[in-house]
Amino acid sequence: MALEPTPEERQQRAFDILKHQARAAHGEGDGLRVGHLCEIALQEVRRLIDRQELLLTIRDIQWAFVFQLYWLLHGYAIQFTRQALQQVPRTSETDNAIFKILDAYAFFIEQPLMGPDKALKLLKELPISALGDKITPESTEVAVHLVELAWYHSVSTDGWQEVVQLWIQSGPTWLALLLKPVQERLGVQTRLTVPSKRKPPFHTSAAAEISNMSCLAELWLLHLYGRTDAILQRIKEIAPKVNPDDNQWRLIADFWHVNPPLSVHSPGDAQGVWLARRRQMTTAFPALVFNDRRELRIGELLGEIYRRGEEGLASYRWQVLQLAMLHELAALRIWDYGMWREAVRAQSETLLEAAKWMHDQPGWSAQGLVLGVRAISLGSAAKDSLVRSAIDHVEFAPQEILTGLSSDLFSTYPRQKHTASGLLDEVGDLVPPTLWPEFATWTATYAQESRENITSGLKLNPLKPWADILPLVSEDSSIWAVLKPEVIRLAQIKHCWQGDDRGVLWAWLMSSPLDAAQEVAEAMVSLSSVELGDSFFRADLLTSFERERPQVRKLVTRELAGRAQLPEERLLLARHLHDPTVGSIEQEVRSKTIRAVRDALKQAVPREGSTTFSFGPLILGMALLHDWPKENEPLLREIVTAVNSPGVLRNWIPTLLNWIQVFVAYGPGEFATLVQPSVGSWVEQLPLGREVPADTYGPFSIIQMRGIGSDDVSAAVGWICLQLLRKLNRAAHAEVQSWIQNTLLAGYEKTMPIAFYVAIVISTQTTGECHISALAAADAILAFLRLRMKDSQAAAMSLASALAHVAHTLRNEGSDTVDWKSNGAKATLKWLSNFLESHSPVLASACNPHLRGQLALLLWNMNRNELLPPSLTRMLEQLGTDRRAQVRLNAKGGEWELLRTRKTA
Amino acid sequence: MRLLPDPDLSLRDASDFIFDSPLGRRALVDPQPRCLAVFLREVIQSIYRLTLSCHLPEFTDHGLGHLCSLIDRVSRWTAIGSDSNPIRVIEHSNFRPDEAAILLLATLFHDIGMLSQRPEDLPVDSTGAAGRPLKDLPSWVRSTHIQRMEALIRRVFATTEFNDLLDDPLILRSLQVARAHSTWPWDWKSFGFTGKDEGLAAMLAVADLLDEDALRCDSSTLLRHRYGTPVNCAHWIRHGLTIGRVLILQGIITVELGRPPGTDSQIEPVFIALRNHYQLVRVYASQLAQAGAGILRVVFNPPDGVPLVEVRDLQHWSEIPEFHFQSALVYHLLESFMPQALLDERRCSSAVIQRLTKLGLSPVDLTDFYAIRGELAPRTSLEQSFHALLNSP
Repeated sequence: MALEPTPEERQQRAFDILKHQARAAHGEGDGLRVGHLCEIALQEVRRLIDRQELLLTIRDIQWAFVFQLYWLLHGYAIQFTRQALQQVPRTSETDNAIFKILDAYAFFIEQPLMGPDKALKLLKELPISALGDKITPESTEVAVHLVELAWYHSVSTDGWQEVVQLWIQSGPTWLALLLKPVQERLGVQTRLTVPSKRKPPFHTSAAAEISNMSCLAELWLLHLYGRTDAILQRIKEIAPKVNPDDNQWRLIADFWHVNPPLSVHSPGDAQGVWLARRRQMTTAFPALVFNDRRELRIGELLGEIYRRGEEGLASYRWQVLQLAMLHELAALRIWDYGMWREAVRAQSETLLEAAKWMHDQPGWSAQGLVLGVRAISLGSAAKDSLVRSAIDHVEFAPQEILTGLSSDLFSTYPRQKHTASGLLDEVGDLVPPTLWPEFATWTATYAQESRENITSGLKLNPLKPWADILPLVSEDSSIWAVLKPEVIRLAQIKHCWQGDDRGVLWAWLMSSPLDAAQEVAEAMVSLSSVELGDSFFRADLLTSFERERPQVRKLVTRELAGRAQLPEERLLLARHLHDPTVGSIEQEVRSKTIRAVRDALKQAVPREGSTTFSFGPLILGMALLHDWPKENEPLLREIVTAVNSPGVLRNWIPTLLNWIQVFVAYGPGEFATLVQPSVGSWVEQLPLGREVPADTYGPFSIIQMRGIGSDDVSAAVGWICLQLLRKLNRAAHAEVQSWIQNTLLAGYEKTMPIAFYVAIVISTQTTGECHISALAAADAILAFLRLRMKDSQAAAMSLASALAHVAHTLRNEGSDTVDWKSNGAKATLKWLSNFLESHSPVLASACNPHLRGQLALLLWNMNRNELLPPSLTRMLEQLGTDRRAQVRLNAKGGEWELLRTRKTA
Repeated sequence: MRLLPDPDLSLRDASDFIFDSPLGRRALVDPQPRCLAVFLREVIQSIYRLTLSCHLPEFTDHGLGHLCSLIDRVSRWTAIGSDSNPIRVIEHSNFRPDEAAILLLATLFHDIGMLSQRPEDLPVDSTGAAGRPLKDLPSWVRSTHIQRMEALIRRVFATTEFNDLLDDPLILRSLQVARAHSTWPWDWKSFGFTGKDEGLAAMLAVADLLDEDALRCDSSTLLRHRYGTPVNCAHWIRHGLTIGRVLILQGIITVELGRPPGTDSQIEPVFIALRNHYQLVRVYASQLAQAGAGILRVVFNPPDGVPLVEVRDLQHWSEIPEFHFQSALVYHLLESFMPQALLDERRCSSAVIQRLTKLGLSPVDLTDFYAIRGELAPRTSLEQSFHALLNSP
């Protein structure tokens, strides 16, 4: 007769089947299979518990809890596992001890943002000896993984090392043998993956040393140092010894793939072959398949978060962080660099996205930014709204967080520095002044490394963040000496004499010790072979330099004048040097400009049926000539006719309108009268021209042409309105008010600053109903932008521009736009004071530093003119201590005030 | 009594056995084509070589051992109504030598696809021609072995002097007969059999169906030493449940059954299914009659219930982790049967169930089987093993 097994025997045997399979699958890295086995087991455990029929102990089934958590693929499993764990009956001290270990294990995975103090406290209290003297796959796994989790949670304080020591002393004997190599590996990986001031990046010479641990460690370090040749050489040495069917082969191949030989003649396969082979190889290894699956899951969750874009997606964010944490730890075990980057990128993106909704914990946003740098995944703030919101979130972070953020950015490997530099372009002036010397050294090193092509990108101007900082650096600082070689290099790059890159050269010329400024100026002049256009911008920069720092005399510009060829440059220099030939050169420039405008008009209104198009040229004379006499009226008429022509191309309209503005601004009053009717019609219906015969915008256009939208055209009309106000005063009010009204209704953020400006100008020119109406419009514009600035970077920038326009008119003594002594102007200033009293607390705490900076400048200018009410004085003082260097600078009058100080000195 | 070749069959032993078998002799009395004997020898040699190198370990034997068994069963098949002077079906005057040749060739061909794994042998219009989508290799081999048979044979002989011979009508008919063994006779209309070929196809199918006995494989060694899935193990055990050769003598099939040691009445559904499996030969009755190979009945010992005799070769069944308890053994054995033998209403049409019930097949209680197998949704083999052991579906 057959013996009927007891229920306990049945459960033991049945669960053993799963356990043996799960252990085998765990050993093979087949996480998907392990997950399946654990789900079956835990479902049955809960059923048996519900029926009060579970006859197994927690030790018998601990494998299911450990493996389920280790191979986590869905966040819900943590909750499910913890619930099941709590329901398992515990009848002995050992049961309780094992429960504590497993529960803590689940908790550590559930809480990826747990601070180091709490983590260490929990770990030190664990009865680790309960793992028992008998070594099993699940007991070793939980011990190692807990140490790895301890490392993850406390790497910043190195507290995990204490846990390892404690467990080696108090745990089963096998634990010491198990944990020592883990401790050694994590020690190396700390400096490789989480370098900091305390645990600085390895020197490149350490590559050979850490290769004892893994050849992948060596390749990892060489890669972070951008040592492409060394990597390829090492791979050639290692590869023959590795079986192509080995998982390690794929990981080595990854380094080859991301460091392809630079020469197209080098032997090797095309990138497409590498990628296809990599995908194919991944399918051969269950662990790699699982890792791919987890990355896919992380991508799904992030995609859902981005798609829904709402605050209440906490469970998704937690899941990404949980999975990404496990993914990182798994990557470190097998030294999978690509997988590690993906894991860290996911952590970064989740923290960056969360910053959109957070009002506290700026440390998490700072961490998100640093992780994005380490993973070389952080986008530019201009193009990535997540980076933007995270920067906004750290804008007012406590000093220690900014110090930590800065230190972490300075503790980067060459490959990561380019991404760090991109971030520092945005937040460079948030770096605490005490770290500026370190920042300067880092900048110089980065610049050198990027020239050596070992960073992950190259910048013409690696000094961009210094434009805001240099004016605040004291003359005796070591920073000048550290940065000078790089500034001299920059000065010899002609492209950097104009545009945004000009800022740092300007700041250096204005702010540095005089001899350092002169060295840079001489470096610019020393470049003899430059294109004529570039030469003009150099002359522009250097004439400004000599004008603002008269101590340097005019030696460099005299040298330039001797070899200048371009009429515009000659005119610039002749004016600066008070040369008697100014008149004849001016005539030459005028003739050239008129010819250029007429040529341009032919392109702006091409023949019917033409399928080609061009862009408006940069006509330097339009910016240089400040007097357009009556005899040039025919040219103005031609431009106006072109704008009104049905054949004019859309992309030319803003350029043509800008030229009209110049003619009105620098021409006789008749010019204003001449264009007034056209402006009236443009206000009612914007001149948009005809479509360019090509795809130049839209979501499916490869080319995206900027600056030709309705808002751009409206803004250009707005600037003409301003000139009409200057020239015709009240006679232009009807057209201008109409334009303001239409701008408000259209809601063009880009047009608001000029609308605000002309509203203010009208209000100063009038009293009574018209005055009130203009201020109401100004009020509406500021309110509109203030409401929008939280969600729209463009709105914040427009608000900053609006304040800047007013600040500008207040700075200029004897402004021809506004007579601040008129009754209307006095009333306007009163309104402005009232407005600022009400709104400046909000504006002063806006995340956008440019907005705060322009507010500071406006208040400073009002104060200088003794127009600042006492209630706003404190605000100005507060802005003078703002974390951003640019805000602090503007609160003290900006560069202009600094110059005055230097002049006085 | 003529012994079957040794399980460690050599090519020469098998060849001798086949050529010396009544079926072989009858086929070669007046060979057409004249090179038939040489061709047969080449076929046997090819099968031998394929078996040595390509037979998948998961399968029970599909090589020369299995083929010799079938040839022996067909050779010893005696007709109804000749108690005093049994006459072998193939030696009857109505059974022509060319028909014997077709049956012999079809027998040799019928499982050759199980010995090869190349997708290019699939017909070009086959849905699986491009590869092996969505199936593990053994399952793919099993499900496509008939489709691949002809192309495989043509590939084997493509560079030999027999290349043209493969288009001989006799060879083509034998391929058609071989092809029919994997389908039920009510689906044979599409084959367009001529002459006695339908009867020959039925003889091959029945001989194959009856090749269920303990000699089919060395169950004891397989269970103790070879890795296999629970279904593989179940097949190895199932063969051990039939003791001795199953032959057809005067239209009567006698089957002697034994049980695995340590089992009791809990295993009875397995024996109902096994008896049903043998009873399935009756679906071929009308086709067999065309070849003069009628069947009267199947006699079981014991006729019902669980056999008292224990099969010692199966004594280690409980060492297989997935089997261990009788509940799991029953489950896995039932899983090894074709649905028709279980009269499984979930997997067979009601028309088939009705037809088989009329033929005397008995219903099998599949309540527990499906509770473990997954009533609502399919479970994996491992899940089924787990629940079979737990006996707590």
